[in-house]
Amino acid sequence: MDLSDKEIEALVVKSQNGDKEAFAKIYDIYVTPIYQYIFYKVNPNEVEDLTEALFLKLWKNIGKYKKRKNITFKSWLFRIAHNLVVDHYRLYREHSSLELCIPDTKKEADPIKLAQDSLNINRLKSAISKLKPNYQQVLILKFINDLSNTEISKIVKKSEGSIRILQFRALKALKTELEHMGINTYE
Amino acid sequence: MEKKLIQLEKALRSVKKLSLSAKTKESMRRNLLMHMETPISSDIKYTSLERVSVYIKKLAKITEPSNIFKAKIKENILSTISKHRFGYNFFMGFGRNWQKVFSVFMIAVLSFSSMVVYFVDIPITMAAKKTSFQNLYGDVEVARDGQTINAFKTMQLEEGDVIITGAGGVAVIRYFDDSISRLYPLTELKIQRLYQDKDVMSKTKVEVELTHGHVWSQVVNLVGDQSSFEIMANDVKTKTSHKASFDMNYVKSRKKLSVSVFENKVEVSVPQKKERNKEIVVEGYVLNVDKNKSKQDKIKLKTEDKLWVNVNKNEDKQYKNKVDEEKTAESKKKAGVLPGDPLYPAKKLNESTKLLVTMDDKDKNKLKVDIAVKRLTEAITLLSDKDKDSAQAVLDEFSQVVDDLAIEVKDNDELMAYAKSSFQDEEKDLSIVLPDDDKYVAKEALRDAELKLAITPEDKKRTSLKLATEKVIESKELFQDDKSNSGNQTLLNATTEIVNVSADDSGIEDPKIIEQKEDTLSTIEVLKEVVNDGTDENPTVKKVIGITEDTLKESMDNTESDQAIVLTINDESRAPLKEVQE
Repeated sequence: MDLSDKEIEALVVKSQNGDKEAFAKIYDIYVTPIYQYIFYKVNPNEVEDLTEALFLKLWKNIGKYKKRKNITFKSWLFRIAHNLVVDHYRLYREHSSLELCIPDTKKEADPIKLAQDSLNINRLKSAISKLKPNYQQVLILKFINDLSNTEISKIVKKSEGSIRILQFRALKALKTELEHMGINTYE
Repeated sequence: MEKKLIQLEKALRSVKKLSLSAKTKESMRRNLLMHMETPISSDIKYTSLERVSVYIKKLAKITEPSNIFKAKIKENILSTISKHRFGYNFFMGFGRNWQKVFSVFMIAVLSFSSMVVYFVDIPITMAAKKTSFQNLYGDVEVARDGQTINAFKTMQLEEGDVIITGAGGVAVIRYFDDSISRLYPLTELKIQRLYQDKDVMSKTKVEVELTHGHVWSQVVNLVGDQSSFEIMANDVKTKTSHKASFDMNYVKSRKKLSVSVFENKVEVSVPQKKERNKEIVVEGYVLNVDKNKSKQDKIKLKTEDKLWVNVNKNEDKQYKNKVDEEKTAESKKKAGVLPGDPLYPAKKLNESTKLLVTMDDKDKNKLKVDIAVKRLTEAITLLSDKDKDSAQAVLDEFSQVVDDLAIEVKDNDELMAYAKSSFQDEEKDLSIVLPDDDKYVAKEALRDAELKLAITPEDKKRTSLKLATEKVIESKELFQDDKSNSGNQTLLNATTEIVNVSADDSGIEDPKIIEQKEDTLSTIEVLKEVVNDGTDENPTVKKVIGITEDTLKESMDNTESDQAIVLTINDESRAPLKEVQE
């Protein structure tokens, strides 16, 4: 469902007035990108719960959203998602561990096979999880959620210049991590 | 380096995007819309097992229509009333004489209603209870007659239904006998039998089969010898005829079953060659069955199980309170007009008139039973309203009626059966009540009635022992709630009675009495575990339990009956109990 910013803002206003159908449409538009975002941040069996919690939180707080020049509804929504995940980790740090079923990525395993192994969702998630939180954030928003640097800057509350530098450093760190896992993404 | 990073960017963009299935999207959407009606706590936990608690906590709060929904109904009703203005239009049609017509109308209504009290006895018929979902969350389906449908909250369940929870699904089934099963995700449960006797409503049997998965069951108020709640898994039957909470986990692929008991005890029968080996599993113990070999151990919870257990224990407590409230409300409805109400004398007059005009002795005696039950429900309602004096007066009347009945039932089996079944129905409603509750006085009065109606010495003995065993369970619950004073007193009453019955050694014992003694012993076992797990603050209690147990065992050893059955708590297969410390 591709709606313009104006149409989305109209749905937001209706939702703020208690229109559940309008809110359901907002859900339909954003559930997949939010799910994708949360997927890379938490345990697989926590993703659905957190996604639902996010939309419930959105419903409860949608009245707080005000259309402003420098912040779109999308940025505001991802900001809520970011805060929710941060709170989740703060409360449940000791329980959180990314349990993924990925093939043996140790170099002691067949190096040729590993070198030929391509990057897939699980491997990417595993690699990203080992990076610093701010690197994770910018990589997921940029390459998974396809957000622009402008949008990302509004979500993480940094300048666009900082985002470009962060992105560069994050990619370097990810490259190192992937090499360590024996995954080759270049010729 | 730059080139490699550019290539990495390309690789990242080409990673297949994670997509949500339409089913998952729709399921989350449904849940979201459901929860938008009801506020939930924002303090939500999300680790893998805690997810279950989120479901169950959310479910517990979604038990009645939201305030928005109720307000809408009210608004609709009020607007309908104001639209039509029925009464006003009707009377205004009479023009100037409307006031006279209205007065005559009101006089007629008042006269009729006052006469109704004398001649019309409106019995309160409680709606027959159904088995249905108390709550649902996530993916839950029901397979029925070859079709699979999405479960919904008001859906009534029938024999033959198979309940299937998906990866994110949790279902809470409330059976018609007030028992509950909470199904974990990825569980399949089949309802095999839902039986209720048409004459004795409290005589019930629920039989279900756990095909695979994990289910927690809570039985709150089964009464009578012939009521039971049973779950079968891989030909292993777990059964209880009393209050109990237990958790069953069956891994079909490995044919491994565990039965963990968290309240009271259950009986598990495991098929072995041509026989079935019956084991009693008491509170705090787990029976593991692997390829028909069974072994009992003390429960040791893994981290991932702790939440499921804690959530269910908490839900058990809340459910008990809920059932207690429902029973009190039902009693209120059944009781009708109460002492102190201006219409109460009319109600009593109605009863006396009916007794007078009933010629047939059989019907007259049945009427007496109904009147006794009426007094009891009045007492329960008065006690729940804290009117102890009026309640006592009514309970005295109840006792008098029972005394009359005790004479009548001696040669009247039909009346005896009717009285027992009527009282058993009330016993079920009072089952949850503990000694620290105001309504306990009514429960004791009912127990006295049961004893009075026990005619033969064997009957009296068995009934005494049964009632004493119930008190042992009550004392255990009080100890667990840190109410040791009440617990001590209740236990003392119970053990005095048990010792008296045991001391009355008449040589050849009735098989039913032996069976009851076995039940009493295993109940004492449950209490011992609870008391031993506590601190050493109850050395006297431990001593009393020890003496009672020894006396009971001795009386069983002295029995000459050919049908004497030695209790098997299967000590060999279980870790040894802690020694009772003096």
